[in-house]
Amino acid sequence: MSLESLTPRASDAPGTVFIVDDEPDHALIARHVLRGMAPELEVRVLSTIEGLARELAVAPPGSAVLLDRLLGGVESYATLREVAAGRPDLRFTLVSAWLTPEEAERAREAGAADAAQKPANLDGWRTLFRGMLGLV
Amino acid sequence: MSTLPPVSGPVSSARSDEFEGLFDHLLYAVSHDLRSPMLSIGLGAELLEGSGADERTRLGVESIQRGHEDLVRLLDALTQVSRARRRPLDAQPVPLASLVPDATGLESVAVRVDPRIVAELAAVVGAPRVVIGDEDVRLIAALPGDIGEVEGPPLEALFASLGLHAGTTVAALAVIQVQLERQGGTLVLGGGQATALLPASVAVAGSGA
Repeated sequence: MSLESLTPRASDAPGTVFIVDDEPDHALIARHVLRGMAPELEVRVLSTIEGLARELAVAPPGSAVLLDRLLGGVESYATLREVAAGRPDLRFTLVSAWLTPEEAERAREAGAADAAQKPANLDGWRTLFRGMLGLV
Repeated sequence: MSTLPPVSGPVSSARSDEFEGLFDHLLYAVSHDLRSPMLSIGLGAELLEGSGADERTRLGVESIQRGHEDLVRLLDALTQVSRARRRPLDAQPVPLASLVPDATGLESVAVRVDPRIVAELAAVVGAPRVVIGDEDVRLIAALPGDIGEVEGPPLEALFASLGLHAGTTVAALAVIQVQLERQGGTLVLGGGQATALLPASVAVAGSGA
C-alpha cells in the first residue's frame, strides 16, 4: 500500500471511478496510478462511446468519471451532456491529450466538474486524481 | 527548407484556398493526433524508470525520455500554430493608448485588433514603441540577443527549422504573426527588432504623431 493510499479522503469521496478512454495505454496507466493511490476504489475501464450513456446511467451513486474528449473519433460532449443531466450526482472530469481553453469551457457547459489536459507525467496524474477524489 | 519549383501562369485562388484548408487540417492532425502516442511513450518510460531497472534498462529509458521531450517540444510548436489558426478572435477598433503605455499624443488613433494579441506580443518582447505609418500602425520592440539575427516572418523561420526554433521566442512570435495576419496585420523580424503592423481603424494622418 502506498503512502498516498493512507491519505484521508473526503467523506463524500466516490467509491467507484470510471475511466473512459479509447487509448488503452492511457486507460491502463490511469488505472495503475489510481490503484496505487486508493486501492479500495472500484475502477471500471470503458473504451467506446457506444452504450456509454446507458452504462453510466446505472453507475453507483456519486461515482467519478474520467472521460476522454474523443472516443473513436467522436466528441464525447453530447454524451456528457445527456448523462450529466440525468445523473447530477456523477462527477465528470473531461480529459484530452490536448485541450484548448475553449474546449475546457465547452466541457464545463456540458456538465463536467472539471476539464484538463492529460498529464504528461505520473505526478500530474496523481494530482488530477487527488482533485477528482477529494483527497486531502 | 527545400524550395518548391516555381509555378508559371495563373494560379487558381480556389485551389490555393483549398490547399490552405488541407494544410490547416494536416497541421491540426499532426499536432493533436500525435500527442496521444507521445503521451503513452513518455508515461511508459516513467513507469519503467521507477521499476528498479538494471543499468542497461536505465540507459534505454533515459534515451527514450530525452527523445520524448524533444518530440513534445516540436509538437508543441506545431500545436501552438494550429491553435493560432483556429482561435476565436475579436478584432475590434481599440484606442492605441489602451494597448501600449507609450502612446502619448496618440489618443485619436485606433487600431482594429483583438487586444489580447498585443498584450501577448508585449509579454514576449516587452512593451513596444509606436510608429504611425500612412495606413498602418507599427509596434516595434527589440529582440532578445539570441534571436537578434533572425530575419523575415517568424513563421517562416520556425517552419524552416522546427528543431532550432521550437520552444523559443521565434516560435512564440510565429504564433502572434499568424493571429495578426488573420486580422489584416502581420509581424516581421529584422535588424534585431520585431515589427508588428496593425491595420488602423481610423485615419491616422494628422494624428499629431
